[in-house]
Amino acid sequence: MLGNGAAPARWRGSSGFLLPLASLTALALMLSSLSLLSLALQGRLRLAAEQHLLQSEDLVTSIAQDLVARVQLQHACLLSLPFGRWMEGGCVTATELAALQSGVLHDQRWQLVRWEPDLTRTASSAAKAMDLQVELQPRGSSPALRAAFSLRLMGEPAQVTDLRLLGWVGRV
Amino acid sequence: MNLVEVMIASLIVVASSAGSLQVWTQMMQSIRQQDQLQRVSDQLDADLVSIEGNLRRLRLSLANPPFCGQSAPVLQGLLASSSQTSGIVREVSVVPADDVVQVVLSAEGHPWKRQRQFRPAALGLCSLPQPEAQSPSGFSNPG
Repeated sequence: MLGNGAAPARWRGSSGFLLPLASLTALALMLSSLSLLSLALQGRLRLAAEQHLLQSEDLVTSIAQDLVARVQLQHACLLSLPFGRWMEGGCVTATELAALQSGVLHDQRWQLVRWEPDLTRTASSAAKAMDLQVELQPRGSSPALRAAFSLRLMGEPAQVTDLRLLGWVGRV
Repeated sequence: MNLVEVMIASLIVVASSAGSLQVWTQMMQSIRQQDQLQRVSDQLDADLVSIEGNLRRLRLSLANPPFCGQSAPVLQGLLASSSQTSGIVREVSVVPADDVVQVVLSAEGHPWKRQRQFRPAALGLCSLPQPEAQSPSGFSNPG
């Protein structure tokens, strides 16, 4: 047994170093573990944010398809017109125009912010392309998100042949 | 140095090592779960891309598309029967009043879902009714 009084001479000089050393070791272990844990947590949060963005992509694509289908079926004269000239089209009332400009799908408010001829993708007078942008309004902690679409039209009167999501334009 | 000091120091080191080991174990579990979730997310995305590809190929192969307003059930049949990514559950339903096909993709045992609505009229997959038009023959499977 080692008592205070019975400690060998070679141990007496080193008395008191063990506790600080153990404490420092414990501190280093805990700090490294916590930093690794925070890294794992960050990865999890990043994954959840990515998933949220993918689900927003599904939502905005569904909204754009719904909007384009309504224009195609009920207001086909608007298809190749820029958004600012829709009232001149003569196939939409002010109330209908408001319903095409914004709405709600699956509890998400949206707004049409752009519907313009896309000259870079327009191949000929028969095959036109339109540039669409739809914005998801902020909800909860989610910021507003704006997505761009390419709408392809064919023939006269114009008929929709494709609607493609180009990507997010940026957080608003 | 005395026995009490040695014992307390040992206790501190053992306790911190045990705590650290537990954190490491949890972290490894978390990383495994993240890998699994990432894999599921990729599979869901791949299945959605495959559905969109099928629809685009279908549009190119359409000779007589069905009329808009009656096309969703035909599209539903096509999407339900087309090949799907393994491990993914694909639910395809129709809202006849809106001529909408709703696709919900999920993976067993995972909370994440992808849900998208497809409107044939927005994808060039249906024809506008003409007074003199004849009844269309419907879709053909693009393979």
